[in-house]
Amino acid sequence: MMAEDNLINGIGRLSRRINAVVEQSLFGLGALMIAIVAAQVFFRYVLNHSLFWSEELARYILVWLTFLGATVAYRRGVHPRIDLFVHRLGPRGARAMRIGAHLVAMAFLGMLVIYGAQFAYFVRLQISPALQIPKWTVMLVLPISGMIILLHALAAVVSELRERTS
Amino acid sequence: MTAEALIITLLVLFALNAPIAIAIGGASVVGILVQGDFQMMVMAQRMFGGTDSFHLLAVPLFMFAGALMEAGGISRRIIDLANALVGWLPGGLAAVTIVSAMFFAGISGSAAADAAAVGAILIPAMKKSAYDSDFSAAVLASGGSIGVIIPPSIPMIIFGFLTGASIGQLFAGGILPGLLVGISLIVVATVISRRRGYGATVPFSVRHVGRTFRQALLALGAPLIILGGILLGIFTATESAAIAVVYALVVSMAVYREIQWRALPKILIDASVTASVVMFIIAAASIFSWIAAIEELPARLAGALLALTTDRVFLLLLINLILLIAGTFVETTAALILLVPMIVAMLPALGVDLVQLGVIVVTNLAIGMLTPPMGICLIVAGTISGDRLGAIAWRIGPFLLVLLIDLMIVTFYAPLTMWLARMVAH
Repeated sequence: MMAEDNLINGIGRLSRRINAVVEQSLFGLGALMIAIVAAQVFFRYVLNHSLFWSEELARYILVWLTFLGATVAYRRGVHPRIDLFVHRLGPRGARAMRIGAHLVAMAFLGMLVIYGAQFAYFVRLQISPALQIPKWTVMLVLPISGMIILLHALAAVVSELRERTS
Repeated sequence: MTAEALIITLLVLFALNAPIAIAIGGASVVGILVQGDFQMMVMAQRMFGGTDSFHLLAVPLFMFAGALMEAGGISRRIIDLANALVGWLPGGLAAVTIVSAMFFAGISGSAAADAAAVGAILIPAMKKSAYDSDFSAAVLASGGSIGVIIPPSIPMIIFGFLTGASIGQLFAGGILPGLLVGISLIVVATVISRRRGYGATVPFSVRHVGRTFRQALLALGAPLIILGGILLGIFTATESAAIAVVYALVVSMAVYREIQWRALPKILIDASVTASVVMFIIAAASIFSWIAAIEELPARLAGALLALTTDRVFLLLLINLILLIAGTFVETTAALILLVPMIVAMLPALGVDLVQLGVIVVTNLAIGMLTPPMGICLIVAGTISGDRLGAIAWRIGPFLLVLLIDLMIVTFYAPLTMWLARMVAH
């Protein structure tokens, strides 16, 4: 039981630590996004000299913010759902429902990890038009975020199951 | 076969209480499997393509602006001004709540979050002034849900992104319907308040208006930049959102000094998470709308509806009904992405402009957020006021009724939307 407990605590701790890092990166991405779009407006309207790279970079930051933010939202449990009859179930039924929803999510995110990685490999030779960076570096956020959500879901399922046994 | 698989999987995953984004993504994956012509890698390509958009940058940027305005005292000063302007009416606080909730509803992009922010200030104030708490909650819910037709509006940005309609024209088109809705809600609240004897908060005084106006002067700059820039055709929605963020940062950190440097990360992180909830639904729904389009699902559904009737009035009423029901159960972004392709396929038979259709669609989904048993704004308002859903659902009746009348006006009187929309450069 000791080894098992250590593993379970380890998953929970890893989920917490990775989430803290991702939250900090959201702050960085958000601040960067504001700065870039504001700079684009300043250059275009004030200096009359449009930046050629700002739009593409801002879009890529949006993609990163979307998928990394979705991992934090998953951990916080704020992705909207349709609660048609969860509240009519008893505590055991509701827990089974929650675990089931995590398993559905894990199946989908598992596919995102596999096919996101495959897609990043598929575009490995493509270079972005304005910034001239390899496109796979942008695509990589899909499998990375998929793995992080898988971890959060696993931690949530494990803690639900442990509550049942204790 | 693929269409059936898509719809059935979607409903099953919704019923299993999976997050909406994951239910939509999961159904799409099953659809791709059943269809069989494509490599599964296309799911990742679509999710990336769905979020890689300069227009959609406006979503997180408006949310940053809204969060900063709220934390930095800009929102509070605007509420004070609203109180000076309409607080002298019978049930003045109810009118203030409607004005404030509508004003802020579009800004952060999450009607529920905005209703919560305004409600946290005004519901306790109404309770202190001896308003019934279920009435207070009904007022908050109705103002907070319908506010998304007033620009800036995240659902309108998404409608523009989906259909290619000009976001600036959509914003302009929402202004007069928004005023109509605001005034009619205030009339309902005032009539009810007078009957129940709720008093005014403050007597009307020009000096009070003048003082709160001076205090709110800088605060009003943020909405002015957003609206002016877009309506005059100077900035795109995304650009004006970025300027609004910078403006809100400067005013709340350097002038009002209500946000400390160390509070900034949490504000930006929380707003990023709210934005990515919307964006993640868009990402997943991008797979869905792609496979649905390949199977010509929107056109087939539109054809089925057109087979029922080709009368434009009946069709418009039918669409309104479908949207109202969808808006009650499904989150706004998801409802937009799932239904708009089908509705746009009927555009020639409807005889309305794409911009007016956008305002009709958004108005419907907004009313859906208020409709029992599932309306999200109703649930949020009840949570803040501490009332059972059943009690508020009863109080919401008169507000809902007047909103439905407004909806019919928006649907069948085109100039209300199009008069201002046509003034904006495409």
